[in-house]
Amino acid sequence: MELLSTMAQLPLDYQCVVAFEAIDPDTGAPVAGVIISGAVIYGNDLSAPGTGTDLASDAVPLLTPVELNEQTGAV
Amino acid sequence: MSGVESTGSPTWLNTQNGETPAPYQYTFPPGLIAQLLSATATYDGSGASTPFLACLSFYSQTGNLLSRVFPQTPVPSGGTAQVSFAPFPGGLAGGSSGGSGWQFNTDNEGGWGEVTSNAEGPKGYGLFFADESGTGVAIITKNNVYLESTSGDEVQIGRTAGTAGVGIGQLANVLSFMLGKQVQIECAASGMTITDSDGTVGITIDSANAGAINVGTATNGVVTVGGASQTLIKGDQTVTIDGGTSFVVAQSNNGQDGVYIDGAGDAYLFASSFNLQVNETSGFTLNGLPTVAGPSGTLWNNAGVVSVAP
Repeated sequence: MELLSTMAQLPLDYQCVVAFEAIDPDTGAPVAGVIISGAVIYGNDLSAPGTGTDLASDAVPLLTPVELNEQTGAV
Repeated sequence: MSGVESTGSPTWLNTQNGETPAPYQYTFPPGLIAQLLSATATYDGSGASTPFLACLSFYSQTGNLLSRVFPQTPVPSGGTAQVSFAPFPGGLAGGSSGGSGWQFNTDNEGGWGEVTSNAEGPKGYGLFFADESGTGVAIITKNNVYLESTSGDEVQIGRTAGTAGVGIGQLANVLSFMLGKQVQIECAASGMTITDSDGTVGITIDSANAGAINVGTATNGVVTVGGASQTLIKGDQTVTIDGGTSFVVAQSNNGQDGVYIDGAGDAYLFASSFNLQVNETSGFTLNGLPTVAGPSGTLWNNAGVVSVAP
């Protein structure tokens, strides 16, 4: 079967992980016995500036370092 | 050039070699900053015992889940799916996407509509409709409504989902046929059975007005009224059993139970015309009278005189 899904366009960098997973729709737990093949990840390499199209001015750089906020515990 | 620039052309980030038991993970190497444009993979669930969502998950440097996306259609257990992930800024379209087309809190009114499923969902059905609001489900048409099982399996109404057996109205207290015209239940092929498996309440066929209740066959079929134990045919007034040409009372068990005609008052065997005959090949007994012996005892009324002769 052929399936499509929308995908978030998150800028990712060092040590970030993209994972192809099989998840149980009821429990959210990983499902065993699923084999992944032919995986291809395709994207814009933003780590080598200066060789392509100008995407932002000096005043508004494209990649502004943002401190990642991750919640710990429950609120 | 000034400012921050991209490379200008998409770059292959990762291509998997071979196959990997899920999850297959790609970790961003040092120095790489990238924004994903698409991802694709084949999810082979031949060895999976349950349906699953083909997910693409993003994790932070510390392993926290940033985002998880997946097609709305689960892959059935044992199934295989080729899954494409992309931003799809215009939204997903078409049945294969499994993620758009049906909108809630809006009137999905337009031209024609078709809904077709090609996979088993997490609830074990290709299509599953449920109303949890407590207000009910209405299917209204100006023409025919068809519930058809093309595979020959059962078409069930009111059956408790996930349970075995045939049921009509098992979920509801009452299964009502409310029509302005005649209600006709017809089985054109293999017969029809109405069974009360509860064993205590029984089956009631009630004509709420003066209309008759007819149990019979149009041709020469047999009408059987009987139960495993006692059978009661009871009316508030006269009960008439009319055989048309003849009426037979018989007891198939040639044992001790016999055939009884009994009442709170007198019991009559009455022939308004012709003769009244009681025949029994092995003799018969009348209370208060001696047993008539012989293979062919006959009791008859002859001009007011009762005679018993073997």
